[in-house]
Amino acid sequence: MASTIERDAFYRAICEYLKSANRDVAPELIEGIDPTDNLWDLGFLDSFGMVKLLTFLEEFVGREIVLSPDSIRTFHTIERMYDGHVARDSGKQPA
Amino acid sequence: MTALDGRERIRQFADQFRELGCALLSDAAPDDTFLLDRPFASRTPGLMLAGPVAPVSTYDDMLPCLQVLESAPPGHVLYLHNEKSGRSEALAGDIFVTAMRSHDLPGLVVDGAVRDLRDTQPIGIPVFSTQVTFLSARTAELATTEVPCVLEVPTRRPGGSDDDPSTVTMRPGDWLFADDDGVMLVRAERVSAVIAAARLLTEREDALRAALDAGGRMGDLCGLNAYLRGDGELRFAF
Repeated sequence: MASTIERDAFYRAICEYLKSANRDVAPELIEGIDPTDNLWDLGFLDSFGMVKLLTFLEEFVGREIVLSPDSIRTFHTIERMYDGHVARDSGKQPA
Repeated sequence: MTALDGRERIRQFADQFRELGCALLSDAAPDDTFLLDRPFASRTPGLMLAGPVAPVSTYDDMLPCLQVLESAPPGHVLYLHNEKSGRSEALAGDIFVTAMRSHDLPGLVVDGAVRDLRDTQPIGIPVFSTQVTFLSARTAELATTEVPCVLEVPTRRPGGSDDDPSTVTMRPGDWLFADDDGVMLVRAERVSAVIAAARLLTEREDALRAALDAGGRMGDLCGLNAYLRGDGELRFAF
């Protein structure tokens, strides 16, 4: 459930997901992604990847994630994903 | 991220779709959007349809259509499938669509015929069908026990061949989206992700439009020369 997802665990899970979704990219490169890096600008997220990432996230947190027109603009970094779409429900403080 | 109640969730997704359209959803999520490969045409041009579907099958008979009209939950769109091949009698007209509006059913797709186009347009409910005729389905004899039902509908994938027909299973609660470009199905469990992806894509396309408006050339912006040289990809979004 969302309330049990810690920030570090979330970061690790996303990192593992990105490795599995980008098998042609060296794993060290993905491990070097900073949580504040823009995944779209780095080439790790596009609209095709968005569906797969959201599907992964929904399975990970155990519920549907609905992005409003405003909240979608905060979906480009791992940190913003956690703060905007996981921590908000779990009562965690933003970084 | 918000946990939304059913009706509010439907309203929010439908509102977002009206800013996006079928083409964007298809571009953003080709693996999760299914074009319904029937000769649908909008009978209410300009109106866009979005919602979870309540499908029903009939054989030129009004009764199943009335059954699904009566039983579909608010916010759902109706899909009427006429099993009769060839010419369909009209399964819905302006009275049926008026009833849909009063039942809070925001859209109608008919794999068969509709009628009363002049009087249907002002009602404000989007209507799509494969045929039009003023001949009404007059029988009301063959009730169905499956309301809503599960249907197999022809679909066409990007790059698919006409010689390789395929179908998609339409289940109650899957989402239908339709506009003047066509009718598509999205699995219920994928609809939030597909809309989010389309929203992302449109923001990126906005950047491309802005660059074009600022005087950029399409070939430069999409990487045409590099693509023709074989050392780059075509890009239509930033």
